[in-house]
Amino acid sequence: MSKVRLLEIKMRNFKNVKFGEIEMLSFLDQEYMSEMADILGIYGPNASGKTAVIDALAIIKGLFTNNAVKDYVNEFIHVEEDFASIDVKFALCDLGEIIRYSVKFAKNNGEFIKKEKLVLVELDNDSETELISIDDSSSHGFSPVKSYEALINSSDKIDIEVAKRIAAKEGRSFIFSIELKQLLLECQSLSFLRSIISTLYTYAETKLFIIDTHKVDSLDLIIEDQINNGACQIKQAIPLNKPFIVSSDRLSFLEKKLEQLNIVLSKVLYGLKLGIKDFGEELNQTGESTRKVELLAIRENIVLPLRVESHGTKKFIAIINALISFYNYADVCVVIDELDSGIFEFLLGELLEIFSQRAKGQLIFTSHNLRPLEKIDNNFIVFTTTNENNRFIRLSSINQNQNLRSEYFRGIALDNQSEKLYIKANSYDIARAFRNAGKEVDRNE
Amino acid sequence: MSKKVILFIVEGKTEMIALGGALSKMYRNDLVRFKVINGDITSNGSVNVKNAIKRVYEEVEAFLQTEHFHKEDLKQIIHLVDTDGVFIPNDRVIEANLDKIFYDKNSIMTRYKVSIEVRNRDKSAVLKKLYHESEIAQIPYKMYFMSCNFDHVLCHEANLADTRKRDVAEEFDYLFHDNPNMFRDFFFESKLAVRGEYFDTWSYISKGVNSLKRHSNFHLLFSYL
Repeated sequence: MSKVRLLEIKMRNFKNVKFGEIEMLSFLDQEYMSEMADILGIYGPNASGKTAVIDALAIIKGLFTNNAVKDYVNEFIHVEEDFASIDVKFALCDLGEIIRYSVKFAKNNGEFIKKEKLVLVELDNDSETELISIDDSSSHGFSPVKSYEALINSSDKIDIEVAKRIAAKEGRSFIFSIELKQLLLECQSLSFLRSIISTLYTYAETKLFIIDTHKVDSLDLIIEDQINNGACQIKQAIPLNKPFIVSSDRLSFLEKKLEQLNIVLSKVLYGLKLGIKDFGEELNQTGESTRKVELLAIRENIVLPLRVESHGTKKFIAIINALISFYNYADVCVVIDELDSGIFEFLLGELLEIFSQRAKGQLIFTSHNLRPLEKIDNNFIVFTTTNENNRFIRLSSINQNQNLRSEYFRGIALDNQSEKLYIKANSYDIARAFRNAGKEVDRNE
Repeated sequence: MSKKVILFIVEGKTEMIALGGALSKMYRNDLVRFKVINGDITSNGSVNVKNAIKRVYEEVEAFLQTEHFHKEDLKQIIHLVDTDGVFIPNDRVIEANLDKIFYDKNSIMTRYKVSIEVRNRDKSAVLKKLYHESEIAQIPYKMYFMSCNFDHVLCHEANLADTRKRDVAEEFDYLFHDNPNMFRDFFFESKLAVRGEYFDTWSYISKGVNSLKRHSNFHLLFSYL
């Protein structure tokens, strides 16, 4: 499988972003196939569009992995608009290709995905070659017609139409549907398209981690299944707050995985290690041997169930596996909303500094804590603006020696950037409002 | 367009409470900010004619650092000072058995006549040095006086109890916060505003017992800025 790196994301009418465009630093630097840390920190006030980026990537992941995204995308379309679109560019490193996927959604429409397409991008001459494009208003299967005809030659036209309908009805991508995958297997002339789709599918399934830090109730582990000689990767969500059942032959993998996590955990969280409490064997409905186990938090001689640990500790455990992958593999992309919540500011700064210098993969995060602005390359950071038609910018005229955190505060106070960063209330008005509210209270008492 | 900072250096937070709202409305295109010194830089024993400018600039630098501004973001430094009767002749400093210094219409009453005379001599020299400066570290600078002190200007009471200072400032802000025109008129009022150009007002306040009277040249700010 070819290594994949995210290069760029664009959004239209998505949540409160009428238009927003973010380029990863590796893309700006034209290091498309880079094996260096490529970090994107998204900063801005509350409700300014930071999480929209996270949500958009979660939708892309959902589509690539053949999941229905209809239910939750519907409410993501900008209130004033009928359509939303997301557009992402990826580098497929081993193939040396750059691919763009774009998808357009319609609000309250039977056919929820209006359009989707996959194109090959030639950055040198700024041209694009369409690989596959589906438009729900068009009568024939998909374009380019040549590819469609090739597929008809090897499959039944009806099968293609049925596959399209099913995907559309369920709010899944047709391009990444299991049905199209099956049809493409029969069609030699479209093997390039098939390999691209399958590369993106595997990337989304095993390399693109989207972490919702509001729900830190499980640790997602990718367990290589021995039964298939390690060829098959199985994702298992390990509950952090309650006992769970694991098949007996996977228990040793789980233990090994925890040992790996403990290397980092014990360094970062003052000697904390994870362990397993084994409640014993249970047979499941099909008669397979399983074990009921629960995660433990171990500090020196004190052993407690992990569930009694603080939210911050559990959150860190929930993301640590993804962070280890990001640190070690250039094709891993970890996306975390509110990375700073529950993490001590000093530690956050240390970790990001280490990541920016030595990690290999991609990390996208939102945060309110501004310490990372002092610790990592200024170009790793984008800020939300108050302009919904140009939602994200990098600060201009900042050199590497300047403290980005200070410059951000300064930019807010002086409005010295190309876009307004924050609608700042007059502090004297705030003081007066507090006083007047107090007078109101006195009067009512 | 990028804003610039108008920095007001003041002795206490009451000046900020009283003036901040109205000034921020008057200078909407700029950013009105205060550096509260918590004390009088001009009569601090360690400040003298030789180091006064440096000491003022240290306050400016501290402000820039905590607020994340650059020096070139400053449009103007406005320094507000109480005159405290420092320009009066020594025979107007009258010994009296009082716990606290008392500012009367034509004299200062105090238990410590000599130390007040020394203070008057030193502070008036520092004021004179500073009001002659048109810039500090290349930033335009002007010093405006409140005579004989800020409370006196605000509410005609030169010996206001500390516990009342904040209420008076709040009340003043309540009246003028959203009325920049009324705020202007207040300082232009003929009995308060000393006539003439900037240096004329300073030479007037330096004469006789004028530095004990209720006066200010703050209205000039509105013509200069």
